[in-house]
Amino acid sequence: MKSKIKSAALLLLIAASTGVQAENIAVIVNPAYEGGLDRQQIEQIYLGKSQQLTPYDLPDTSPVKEMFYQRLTGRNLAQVKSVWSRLVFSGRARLPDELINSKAVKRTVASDEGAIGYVAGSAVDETVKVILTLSD
Amino acid sequence: MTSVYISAFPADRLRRLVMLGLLCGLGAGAVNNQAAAVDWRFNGYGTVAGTTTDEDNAEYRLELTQFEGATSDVDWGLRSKLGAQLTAEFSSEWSLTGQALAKRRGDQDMDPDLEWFYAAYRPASWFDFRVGRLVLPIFMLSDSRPVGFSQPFVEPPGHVYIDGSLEQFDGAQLINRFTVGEGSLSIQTSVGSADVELLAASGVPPVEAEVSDIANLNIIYEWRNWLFRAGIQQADVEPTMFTPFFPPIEDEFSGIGVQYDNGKLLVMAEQVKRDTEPTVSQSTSRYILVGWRFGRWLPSVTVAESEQELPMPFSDGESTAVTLRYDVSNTMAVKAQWEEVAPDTGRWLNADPAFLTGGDRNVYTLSLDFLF
Repeated sequence: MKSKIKSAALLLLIAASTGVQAENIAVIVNPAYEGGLDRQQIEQIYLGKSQQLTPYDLPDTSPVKEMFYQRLTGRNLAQVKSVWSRLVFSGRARLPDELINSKAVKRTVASDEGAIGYVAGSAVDETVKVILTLSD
Repeated sequence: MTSVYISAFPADRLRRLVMLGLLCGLGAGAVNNQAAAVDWRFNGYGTVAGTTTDEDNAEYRLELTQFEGATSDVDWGLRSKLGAQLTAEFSSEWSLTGQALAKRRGDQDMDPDLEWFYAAYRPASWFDFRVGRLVLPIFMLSDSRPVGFSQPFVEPPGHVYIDGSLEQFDGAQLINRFTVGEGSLSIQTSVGSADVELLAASGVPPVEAEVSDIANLNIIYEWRNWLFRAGIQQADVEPTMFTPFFPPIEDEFSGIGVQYDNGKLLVMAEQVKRDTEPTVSQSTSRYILVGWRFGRWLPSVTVAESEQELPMPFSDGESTAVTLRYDVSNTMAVKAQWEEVAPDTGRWLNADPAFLTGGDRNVYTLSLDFLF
């Protein structure tokens, strides 16, 4: 029994120390949004190739952002910015607005049927609808 | 940019352009029902690059608008650039965008000019209409050509892209986008005119020309990690003053391009044909790039060639480039590039006659690309 508690405690410690690393990232839309979007389509939106929904970003300093793009597109932030820069400077797309934190992302998505965003899984509440979960 | 020197466009035409743009912008603001303030967006890009070659008797350059090139002395102006873009969004439909770009023009380094300056009307995601100063999508990377950070090589291969030095124009562009199957199709049409100053090749003086009746069609299909494009363009090019070696011509480009990028493997390839009527120039050029990403590193190899069916204005040329790109940060990349370039009269200026008989020359470039 003691060893089981020990291993459980050890696991919890590891989980806590890696923090967001172990956590899911939820891609969220407005609860009233009825259109089905698959992973491909969400990737297209976040690489500037589709304007189906208006994407919102977290700031570069957020660890969720780098992880979101790595898990969704298989690319790091430098590559993602490289893809976007080709579109921004030829007028084909505008960069997603950067919102300050997940609270702001939820607020924006909850009030705009055409918006899409991403937050740490633990930040999800009933004001938004999850259409995709990205896990490690 | 506090002062913008417009080298290629007459002052009164620029004034008209600015008036047009401002009027469109103000008009859009006036009819805008929402009382919301204008949303401003600012983005910039730049490259600091030094290029050197092992050839002292010719200068290596990449665009017909460059009258000076690199030799065995390090040339810091050939590939260095600074671009700044400001967009005013009056509503979800109307916006005004200006992008100024400083680079080598003629023999002036970091010479600024307006690369883009247009009013845009986008009532729906499938309808994007712009009027003003724009860039012609002659090749796959034409409209993002100066943005080094978006490319695996220091610059798109000169053997293909040198012919596209007539990329800026005044006119209108319409982009229609459609979802086709799992991918998206974009049909872009451009019409307008331009004034240019070109140095076609070694041994002839620079020529000022009017480019009129430009008609360009650019079709892009993107599906998953693939991009396919096909483009065609026709324009009338006439020197403003008679020159015997450059008669008025009908200039036609047609090209296809493909790109595959899955985040690890990168392949880009293009083939472009150029024909002029009367036939003073006929060429086919192509390149292929293959690269592979290892974390923040991207090594790549680019093989390019240009076949001139006619001896004017250039001779055949080819090059092989090896580039190593390292993403220092999310907005900064360093590149080291070695190119082996065959001597030809288009890319190499002020060459003495013996130059062409020599073997391949080496060109070395170290560059820093950044976004801000």
